[in-house]
Amino acid sequence: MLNTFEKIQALMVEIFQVPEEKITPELKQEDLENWDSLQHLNLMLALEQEFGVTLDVDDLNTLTSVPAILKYLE
Amino acid sequence: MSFEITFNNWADTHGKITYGQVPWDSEIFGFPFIELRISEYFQGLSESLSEYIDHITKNIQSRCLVFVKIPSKQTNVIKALTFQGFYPVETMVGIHGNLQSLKPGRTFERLHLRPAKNDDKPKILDIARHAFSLDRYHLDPNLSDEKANYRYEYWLENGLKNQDLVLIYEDLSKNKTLGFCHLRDINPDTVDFSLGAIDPSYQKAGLGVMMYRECLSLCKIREKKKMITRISINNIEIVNIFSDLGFVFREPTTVLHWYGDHSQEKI
Repeated sequence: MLNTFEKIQALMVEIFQVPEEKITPELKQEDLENWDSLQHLNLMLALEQEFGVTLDVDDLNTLTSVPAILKYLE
Repeated sequence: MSFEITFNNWADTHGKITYGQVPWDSEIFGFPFIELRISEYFQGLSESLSEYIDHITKNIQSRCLVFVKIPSKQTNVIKALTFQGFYPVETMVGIHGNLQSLKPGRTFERLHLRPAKNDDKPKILDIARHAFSLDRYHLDPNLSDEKANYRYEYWLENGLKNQDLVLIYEDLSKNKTLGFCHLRDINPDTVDFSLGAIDPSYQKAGLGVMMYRECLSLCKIREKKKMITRISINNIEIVNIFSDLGFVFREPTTVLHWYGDHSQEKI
């Protein structure tokens, strides 16, 4: 069974089309070229679907790193 | 100030080379901005360009910028221009969208697009002043970033004065302005998405995607069938947004500058 980070990693690999090793627990938006505005929105929608959460507008602006997403979900 | 450019024929090129001073850019930057138009490659183009540049150089009071927009596939014209000291600063693409096939997307109830009122002007002008940095005015090392920023503020201010449709994107619960869209009706069916931006502190968070989508939905409600715009290919985020919305890209255009400076002034 995948843990939270591994689930986020799997989503990001699919959305950003990058190898798994690029998605680290410390990853920030500015460190990954493919993590642009459009893919960020797709990621937020995917997180809602995967984890059954409803994101707020403020969350869009703050969930811009893996640590922030992990903290939000846990 | 006039927003028309009067084009004059250059020498005996029979209208194949024309030029005209751009009043608004000349005023903003404080020296002549001239648009050069070349209708096609022709025998003698290089000599005509050389004569034109000589003419400009001899008549500059202090500084002068000449710009030209050429379809990117006209490589022989572009080569002739670079040989005369023009340098490429930007590639633009035309974006054409069929609004009828626009699909709805995710929205947040708190976010709202509405026509801008007078009270909104300071906030959206502030966004216009800070949101743009990938265009030729910012990329040209001979031009001041401060004046390049002001150019967008000026553009939007004139849109408001002309009563173009300017929309403000806001977070209702926080009374926070997130961005704006500036639209111009070209004809009953077609709208030009003239300018749009998200506040820099909210960029890269997906808000631009939602704003653009909502703006285009609004155009569809206004019974517009098509949307057109032109953007710099440097702005890859916006390119991807429009691609995702199903729009197509046409008319790649290379923009080149020529700059002359007889002044001692430093940028």
